[in-house]
Amino acid sequence: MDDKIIDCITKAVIKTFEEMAFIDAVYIGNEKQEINVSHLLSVDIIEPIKGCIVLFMPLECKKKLAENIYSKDFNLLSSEEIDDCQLELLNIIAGNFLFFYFGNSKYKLDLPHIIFNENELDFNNKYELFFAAEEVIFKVFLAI
Amino acid sequence: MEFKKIMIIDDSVTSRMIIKRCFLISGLSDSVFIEAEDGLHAASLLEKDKVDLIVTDINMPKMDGNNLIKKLKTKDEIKDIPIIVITSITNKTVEDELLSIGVKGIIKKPVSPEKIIKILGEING
Repeated sequence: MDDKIIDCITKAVIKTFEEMAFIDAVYIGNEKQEINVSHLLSVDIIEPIKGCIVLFMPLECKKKLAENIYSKDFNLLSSEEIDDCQLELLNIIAGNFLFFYFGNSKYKLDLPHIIFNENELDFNNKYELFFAAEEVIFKVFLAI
Repeated sequence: MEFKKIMIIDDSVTSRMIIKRCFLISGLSDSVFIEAEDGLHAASLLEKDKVDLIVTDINMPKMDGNNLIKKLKTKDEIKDIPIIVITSITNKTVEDELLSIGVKGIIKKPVSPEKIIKILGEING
């Protein structure tokens, strides 16, 4: 395990949740926990090295994020708005991670997207980190 | 400089909503906002409609922000409209590249009213 990677992704997640959704996220470790999700949110890192960041976000966490970002009740939001705000959150997490880890190097991200099959995440050098946001646990998968 | 009509270009509907909200909070509540979801859509809208400020993301499908900016800078009727980039991917290298192609200001996402006010102040210098 690379401590710098863990430190950078942790800082990126906490900063993005706080600045974008006004939610305090806390890193709780890498001990495996069951997270129930309907689909995964993924963004590929293209430069300077290949990799990806994937969010495993339970419905309760999605609800809180979408409501805070849109300042609207969850039931009034469209499914497009709900998915899009999670993808945008991931996009910003990825941008922050790249900045913390690679500094002023040139880097490039693909567009964030939804995936349905966890088997697509077939990487050797991977990190599975768990966070809590308002007592709901979610997972960040990082491979580089 | 007055920004009566502002074009916001971002493939994320959430991001466009947040940017618009930040401009409104920043005191531009009388401005009209035109939204485009990628560079190609924006270029098409700009052929018909004149705006006072262009706010664009970089990482977008169809035509990204870099190519859009380069295209706009070749058009006499558009090249002098100030452009602000709002992106999740920024550092000194990216900022230097964007400034070299004529961008007036760069904001790192997530955008806030404070960041908008600062950039508008710099543009109006």
